Parts: sequence; C-alpha cells; structure tokens
Amino acid sequence: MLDPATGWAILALFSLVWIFLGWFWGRKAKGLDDFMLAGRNVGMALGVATAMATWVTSNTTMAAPQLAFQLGIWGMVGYSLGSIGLMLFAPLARRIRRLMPFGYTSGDFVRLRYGKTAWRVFLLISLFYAFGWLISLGMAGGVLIHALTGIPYQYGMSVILSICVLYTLLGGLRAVIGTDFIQTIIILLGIAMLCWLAIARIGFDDIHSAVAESRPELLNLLMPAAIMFLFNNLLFGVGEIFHSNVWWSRAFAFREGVGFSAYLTAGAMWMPIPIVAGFIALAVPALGLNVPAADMVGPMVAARLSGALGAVLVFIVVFSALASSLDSLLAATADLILQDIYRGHLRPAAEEKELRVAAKLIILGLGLGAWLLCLPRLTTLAELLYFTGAFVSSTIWPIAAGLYWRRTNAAGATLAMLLGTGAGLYSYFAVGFYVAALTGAAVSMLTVIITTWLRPADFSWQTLRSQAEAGA
Amino acid sequence: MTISTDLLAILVTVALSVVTLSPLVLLGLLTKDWKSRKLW
Repeated sequence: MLDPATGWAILALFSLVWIFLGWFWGRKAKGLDDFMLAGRNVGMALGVATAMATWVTSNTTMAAPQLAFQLGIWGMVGYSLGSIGLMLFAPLARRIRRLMPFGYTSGDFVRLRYGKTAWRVFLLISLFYAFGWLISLGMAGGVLIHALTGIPYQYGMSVILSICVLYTLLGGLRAVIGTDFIQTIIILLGIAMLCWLAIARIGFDDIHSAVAESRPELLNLLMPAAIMFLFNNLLFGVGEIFHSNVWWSRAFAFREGVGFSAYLTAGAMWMPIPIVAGFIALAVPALGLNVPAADMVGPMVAARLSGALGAVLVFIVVFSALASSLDSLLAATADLILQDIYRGHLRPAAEEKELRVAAKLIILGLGLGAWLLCLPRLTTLAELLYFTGAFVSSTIWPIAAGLYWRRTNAAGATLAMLLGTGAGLYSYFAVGFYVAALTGAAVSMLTVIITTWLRPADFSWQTLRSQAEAGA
Repeated sequence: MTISTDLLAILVTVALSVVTLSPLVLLGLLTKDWKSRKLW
C-alpha cells in the first residue's frame, strides 16, 4: 500500500494533466454539437479507444477480480462476455448514424420511434441506470483510493468526482474522448504488466495447485451459479450498451462509416481484459492473503505482488479506469437530461446559448448528486451494479426491434420495458443477482415478439431523420 | 470437472497477448488517422 502523501501527489499530478487536456481540447468547441458530440467527426483510433476505455471501468479492474474470487473461472469468462454487447452494438451504431444523422440521444430515438409514454418509461430506466453506474463508480473511486493509499474514502471519492466533473465541464465530449485514448493505453499496459508479474513471480502451476487445494470450486467448469452468471452478464452488458446514451452519443459522434468498425474492434480488444484482471485474483491462495472484503481483492493482490512501485502503477491504472468511465457517463447523462428533460419537457424553445449553459449546470448538478449519494457506502460494488440489470435488459428488445422492425408498436415496446423490469426485479430478490438480467431480457423479448405479431405497426424510417433534423 | 493447469495457462496467455498488443494497435490506428487528417 502507498502512503497517503504519495497517493495525494499522484492524484494531484494526474488531475492537473486531465484538467489541462480538458481545457486544451475544449477550447475549440464552438457550438452545442461540438460540446455534446465532439463535432460528429471522431475517427477510428479515438473511436475504438473511447469505447474500450468507457467499458473498462473500475468494475472491470475491481469487480472482475472480485467475481473471479467468488465465482472462479466462469466469473472471469462471464465478465469477458460483456464484450459481446460492444460487438452487437456495432451494426446498431451504423444504423443509428444512418437513420438519425442529426440525433443527440437515445431518448430522441425512443421518443420519435415509440412516442411519449414509451419515452418517459425509457428515461426512468435510463436515468436510474446512469445514477446506479455513477454511484458505483464514485464508490469504487473512494474504496480503491482508500485501499491503495489509506486516503479516507470520503476524500478519495470527492477528489475523483470533482476532477471528472471539472474536465468534462471544460471540454465536453472532445475532452472525454481525448483523455479516453491516453487512459486506455495506461490501463492496458498496467493490467498486462501486473499479470506478467503474477505469472513470473508465482507461475501457473503454483496458482492452480493453491486454488485447487483451498478453493477447488473456483476451478469447477460446471458451477451452476457461475454458468447462470455468464449468460446473465452477457445480457446485462447488451442491455447496458443498447439503451445507454453513453454508447448512443458515441454513435452520433463518430465520423460516418466509423461506428461499425470502431465498436467491433473495441469489443474484440476488450474481451480478454477481464480474464487477465480476474486471473490476478486467483493468486490469492498462493499468496496466502486474507481478504477482508471481496471487492478489495484486486488491489490487495496487486499491491502484494508488486511492492511500492507496483502499487503506484495499480493506482494510476485504477484512477484512469475510473476517470475514463466517469467522464463518459457524466457527459452522456448530462446530454440525456439536457435534451430529453430540459429541452424535451421544460424548455422546448430554448436557444443554443441557453442550452450550453444548461449543459454545464447539469454536469455540475450530476456530480453533486452522485457525491451526495456516494457519501454513505451502502452496499458492495457488484450488488449495486447488478441491481440495475433487471432494468436495462428489458430495453434490449424495444431498442433492437425499434431500429430494425418497422412493425414493432409503441404499446408493445412500453409493455416490454415494464414487464421485463418487473420480472427481472422479482427474480433478483427471489433467486439472486445472477438471473435478473436473464429474466428481464426473456420477458421483454416475448412481449415485443407477441405484441408485434398481434398488432403490427407501419413505422416510416424517414420520421427519425426528418424530425431529428428539425430538432423536434 | 475442473479446469486443468494447461488449459488455464492457454486461456490466460492468449488473453494476455491480446491485451499486451492492443496499445500498439491503437497507436497504429492513431498514426493512420493523424496522417489522413481524420483524427476528429
């Protein structure tokens, strides 16, 4: 573990770098499109990196080791299937850009495709998820900074939230995407170095034999709960990506023709990361570590393996992983609130100047709200994250069918989100977190298919293009 | 039925190789976009 003074020094150094870059890239932003969507012209390299960095969250660097520690080999592999969501979103990103070249948010799509009732249900789900993710990231920031440096939870959490709010405020999506590239490189190099170190210091044989002796269930390929987790996580990831404005705003921001390749490449390159990060946790028995809380397993192993210098590396990796997701979430959620709540419900006639001011105030408000909710550390990271699985998985079919099937109707999509969420929540409490997304997606799918078959609509795709263009 | 040491080693080594090479791929793409003025 680092001493708090070193922790503060690293925090200060990286905070200055991110804030400077936020200002540097943000100074060119002239209009609302520039601030919210980075000018709608992002290329392949930055596109791949921002998709990867956003999906590599503290939940990957912390929850992947945690799940490997709790569910073993399937925990690692199951988490890596989160990449399927990125890859499946690739064709959707291309279609979104084609159907709505002037769109702003996922809420825009739901409103134009399904009408106001479905839009409001979708906004409730999407904002609940966004806050769940924000809180989980803020909490992870505090927990990790405390675990790695001894800086009190409240201070660490406050610092990470403030920095992300500040540079997102200064540079909008351009700052988010630019810093994401640097953060991706840091994360990849850091995780790879730690894993190479675990292999070099302990070796596959010793890690395997120590786990087989003390926790043999972790190596079991037929662990039922873990296999359920695998499919659940796959659907959870798909639900998160299909509905969330974090991914939609990138689909709008990428240059024409980039979305498909960027999401596909990002998914392929993201897939091995949870396996590598999770493997580090399997070193616990070989190292003889006593882990007091499962969500601290990753940092503890890393700190034990690599001493002071390694602890610095881990801290920088984790800080980058946190920042890369927090900034994206702040920017995309602010866009959603600005476009769908402020402009959509409160001030339909607002001019661009007013919207730019509102965008910044919303980012500030989001940061403050997240900070207040993070202050009491209420539940473990994975529990909080998986609670939202029931909600997001219910949006998969309304979104996918809405983009490809003109016959899917508004009432069916609304019902699918409501019934899917209800069923997912019931199974969350009745069975466990590892089936919530599975149930939610299944019920939602059946609802969409049956209602489309019973009452087919005849939607015109041109509506999406013309109304989004007109800013309706 | 448990995973063997060899299978675990293969799984982790393949994953680790991709993670290690990814920064090079990203920097290559960045150079290409930079040269063709398609960064953003």
